[in-house]
Amino acid sequence: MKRFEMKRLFGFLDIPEPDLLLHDYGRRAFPFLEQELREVPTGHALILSFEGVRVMDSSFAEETVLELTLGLTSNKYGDRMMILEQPSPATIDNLEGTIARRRAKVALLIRDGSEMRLIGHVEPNLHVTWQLISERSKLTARDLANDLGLEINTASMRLHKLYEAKLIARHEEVTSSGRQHIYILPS
Amino acid sequence: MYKSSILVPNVLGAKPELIEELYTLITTAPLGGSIVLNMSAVTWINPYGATSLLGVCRFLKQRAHEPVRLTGLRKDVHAYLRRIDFFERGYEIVLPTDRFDPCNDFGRSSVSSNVLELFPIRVQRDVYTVASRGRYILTSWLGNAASDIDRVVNLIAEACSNIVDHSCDRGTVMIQKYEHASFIDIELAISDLGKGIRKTLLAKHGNISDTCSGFIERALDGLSARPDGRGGQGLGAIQRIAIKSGGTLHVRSELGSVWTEPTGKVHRDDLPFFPGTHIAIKFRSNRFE
Repeated sequence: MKRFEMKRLFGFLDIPEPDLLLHDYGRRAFPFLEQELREVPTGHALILSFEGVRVMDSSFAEETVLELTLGLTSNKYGDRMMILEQPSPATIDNLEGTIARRRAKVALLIRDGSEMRLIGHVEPNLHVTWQLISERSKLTARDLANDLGLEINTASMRLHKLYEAKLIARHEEVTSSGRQHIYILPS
Repeated sequence: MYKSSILVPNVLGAKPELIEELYTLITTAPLGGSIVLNMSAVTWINPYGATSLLGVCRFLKQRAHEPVRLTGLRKDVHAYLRRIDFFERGYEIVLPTDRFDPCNDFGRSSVSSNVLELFPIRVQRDVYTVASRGRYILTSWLGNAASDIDRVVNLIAEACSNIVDHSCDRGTVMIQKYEHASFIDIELAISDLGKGIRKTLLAKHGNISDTCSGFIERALDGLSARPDGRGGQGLGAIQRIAIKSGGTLHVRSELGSVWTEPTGKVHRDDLPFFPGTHIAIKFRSNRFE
């Protein structure tokens, strides 16, 4: 796990606290955030802590969080993920609005305390799958197939889509019956 | 020397649509020589009235090539204009001709004040400055209603960044609080004499509507004028936040306007031509609930 305090951007960008605003400042912040993401160990998530940030407007969000997310889902940053920790309701509104306006088919992981949730674009069946992982802490394709009465291929495809969307992590386990992927929430 | 005098109707404290009476007067009056605005009928000014009056003075100064003179100011109206820095923002644009005793000035305590004075928006840094000052004064107005404060700061950022990004002009913003029995209205006015919404969208999207209000409506739908299609949600976000709070939004540009309230919209395309974009936002905070 690697953590970046978004409030550090106030100093980097020489802007007053507690708001992150405007397209151009977001563009200037992007390289800092991208560098942080590249330093995350493979298979792990970058935690962006929003403590001390009241509003990240839609322009800033588009140039930073959305741009990183689009890079993650296109595999630009390898097997890494990102979690937004405690963004304010106004920031969440702006993130959702930005995703909707760009018609971007991406979702974001939001963590408040011990609770994790998704915002943005997620197909309903994938959301159900993600919820199951969230409740159980780990899930295999076989578990999902059994729980939802799915073909194993369908279950496997759903988990793979969530993994490709960088909304879950996975590791491989070798058992007496062969190899299988264990899917978990990112940390 | 020849003077043109216009009697300003008592509309500067009224609903935005009534200020059209002033735009009609200044765009149809035969003007020549120095221009005098007779303010004797004006008894009340709200933020949209103040930004509109400043815009009118800039528009007239561009034609007359000399400052507009304000006469007949009531003492309280004169004090209010001084309080909101009207004559500082209108430096070399507008001059009061009436004498004023500074003893009658309104106080300027940022804690007790109901107003964030007229503020110029020229560059991106100004957006941060007005957002910071807005946040400071909103905290004293709305107490610990943090999410409402954030939403109003969001409104300020979206509205002011539109000026910097698209108008090719400097703009002005003003914010005022009105307390009611069970809620507080925060009124914001943002105004510029720049390209206007139609020309801004036309450059990227072509002739997407036959009317100015149609262009405004597309901007309210979130259509971006940036070359790369990026940018804030701008007017779309402003509309969503204001209406969700139970407030209203008025957007006027060139010949058209769109008035939005929680129960519906009114589109107009019969307005006198006036350059730029002029926005009145009412955000309602139920902090007493």
